[in-house]
Amino acid sequence: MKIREGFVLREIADSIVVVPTGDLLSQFKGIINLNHTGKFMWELLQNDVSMEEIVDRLIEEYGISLEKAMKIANNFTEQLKNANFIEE
Amino acid sequence: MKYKIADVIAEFEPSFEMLKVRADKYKIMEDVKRDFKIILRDEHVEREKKLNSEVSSELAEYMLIGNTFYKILLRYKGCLLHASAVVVDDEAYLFSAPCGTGKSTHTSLWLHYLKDKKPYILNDDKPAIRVMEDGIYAYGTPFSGKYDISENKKVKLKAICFIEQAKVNSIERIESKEAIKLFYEQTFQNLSEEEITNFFDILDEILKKVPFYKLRCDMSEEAVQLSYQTMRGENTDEN
Repeated sequence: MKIREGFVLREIADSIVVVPTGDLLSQFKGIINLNHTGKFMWELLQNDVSMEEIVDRLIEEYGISLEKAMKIANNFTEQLKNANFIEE
Repeated sequence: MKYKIADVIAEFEPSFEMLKVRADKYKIMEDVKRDFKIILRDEHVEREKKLNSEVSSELAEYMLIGNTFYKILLRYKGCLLHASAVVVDDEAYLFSAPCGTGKSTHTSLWLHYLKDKKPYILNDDKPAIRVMEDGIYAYGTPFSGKYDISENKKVKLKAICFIEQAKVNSIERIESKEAIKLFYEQTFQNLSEEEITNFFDILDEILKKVPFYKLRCDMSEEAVQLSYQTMRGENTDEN
């Protein structure tokens, strides 16, 4: 899975935000806030990655348990899918 | 025709009265080099009218030239905030909110209750904000809302305040996370990747130098005194 093209991720002050640009504006409005883990996964999802890869990278980066990594990755990708940000 | 707006020289040729009249006080006659030229094609005006049947040709011209001006201004460290800007003591206070919340109402109450201080409206709808070497400034522009209330002036930006209607008056400083969201909702969202990058660079500078507030208010004198005293006072603390 992969995030659709046209979103811009930006760190500003102490926030991490994502906004839609171009054609996406007809479908999405407003601003999305991410935390550091969210940013990490968002950046992985700029390329086509599998759930297993995201989980592996989370464990690598944050030294967390498999169970916790799966939970975080599932939550995040579910939210992105529900918002229609993901192209399969 | 060349116009000096927010300290940039823009060239455009208004065909209709609405923009002609509003832009008149920004006209410059000297032979100076323009920073950029805006060309409005008939097909753009027609497309705008098709999108919204209530838009006349003259309104379409005013809106499209305004939008283009503000998009280009992003390259000059300048942006637009949908706000009513009032000046007191040579400092600009920008009140921003979605349409119909009462930003113009609040600033008109400032004119009334603070009249000893000779306040005036810098721009009642879309002031420009620019990041300059020596600080952040607000500017009047020809893009000034329904009643064309605007002055061709450059004023140091003192504070940005987002308004909500309430029965009990209160004001608080807001953190950057909330300020970013509220500001973004009241500026252009229809931007390219390059434009959005420039916009966030500008907003980042503004956040470092200008305090942001949220005011919940009614239409009383108390609301005016609370917002003026609070935002003016902040400076004395810092100095």
